Amino acid sequence: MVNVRQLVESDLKTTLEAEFFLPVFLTDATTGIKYTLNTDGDPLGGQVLNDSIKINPQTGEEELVKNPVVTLRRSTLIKVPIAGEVWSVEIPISPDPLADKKLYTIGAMRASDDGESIGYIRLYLEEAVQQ
Amino acid sequence: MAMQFEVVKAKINEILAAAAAGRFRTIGHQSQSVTALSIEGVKRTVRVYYSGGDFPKGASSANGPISHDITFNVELAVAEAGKIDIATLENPASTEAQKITAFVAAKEADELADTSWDEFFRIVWQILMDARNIDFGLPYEVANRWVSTGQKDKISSTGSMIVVTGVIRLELRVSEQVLGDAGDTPLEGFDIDMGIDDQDPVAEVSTTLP
Repeated sequence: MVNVRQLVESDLKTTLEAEFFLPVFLTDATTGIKYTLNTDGDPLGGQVLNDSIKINPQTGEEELVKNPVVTLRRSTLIKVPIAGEVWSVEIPISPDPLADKKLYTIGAMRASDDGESIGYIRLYLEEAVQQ
Repeated sequence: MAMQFEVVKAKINEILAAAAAGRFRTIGHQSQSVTALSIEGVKRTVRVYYSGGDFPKGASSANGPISHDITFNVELAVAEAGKIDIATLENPASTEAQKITAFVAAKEADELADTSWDEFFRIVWQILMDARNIDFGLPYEVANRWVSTGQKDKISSTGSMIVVTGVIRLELRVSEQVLGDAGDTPLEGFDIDMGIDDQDPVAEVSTTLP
């Protein structure tokens, strides 16, 4: 019998890494290593969203807020970012795998959202400017 | 005719805008929200709005002038992005040691936003409490100017930016005149004969020989 949890995890390969796949580069601040490939040796990536819809509490209207979020399959990561660690994340500036990448950070302010039971990690990105 | 609290509010806005010198942006109070990215364009914004007022009976005349103890909320908002040596991190030729150095030297957005708000508070407080602004340029009309409270809200992340907001509570007293309000008086109607005939104009043709 197929284990349902394993099935859900393997479905992420389709939902996160199939037609909507965009490449992502991760750099670990503690080692300086940039990860561009996943555990299989393929380009690292997943679902990249730039905006999200939020309700403005003052007016009750919907607003489009720039809120870059990257969702990756945990099992593809050579090293998994954990809360409190500083990483930089490079994502394409447009929905094109070959587009130039923009650098963001994940810092202490925004803990990543773990879906450990079904095997994904969601990273909330912070704007970064040249020092 | 505008009441004194409206005049004073406009004057405070004017004084803040004049003293900004590119360090922040003064905006009139708007009911719509300000997005983090629009704050980030100038980093810091201040806006003044009438929060409330008391009309102490013992300090007023029955038919005016009437004392008006006003509380203005002066809202301060700061948005910041993190600062990091992007060029080093993006450069494929950078060594791991160079990248670590870039990360160590990076300044996180929450720290920058917090420091920026403190500096912003200092600037605005100094402007509001400046001896030259004791009457906000309205001598004999403004009294008891006082900043009673400074309040910083929690640091929050809005989209990809870090935002810090807070409020300065400014109190003062003005005298309001009771002028009554008779509503809008309709304008006088115009009844002018423009001298235009109802018929099509016909050219006069001379029938005499020159």
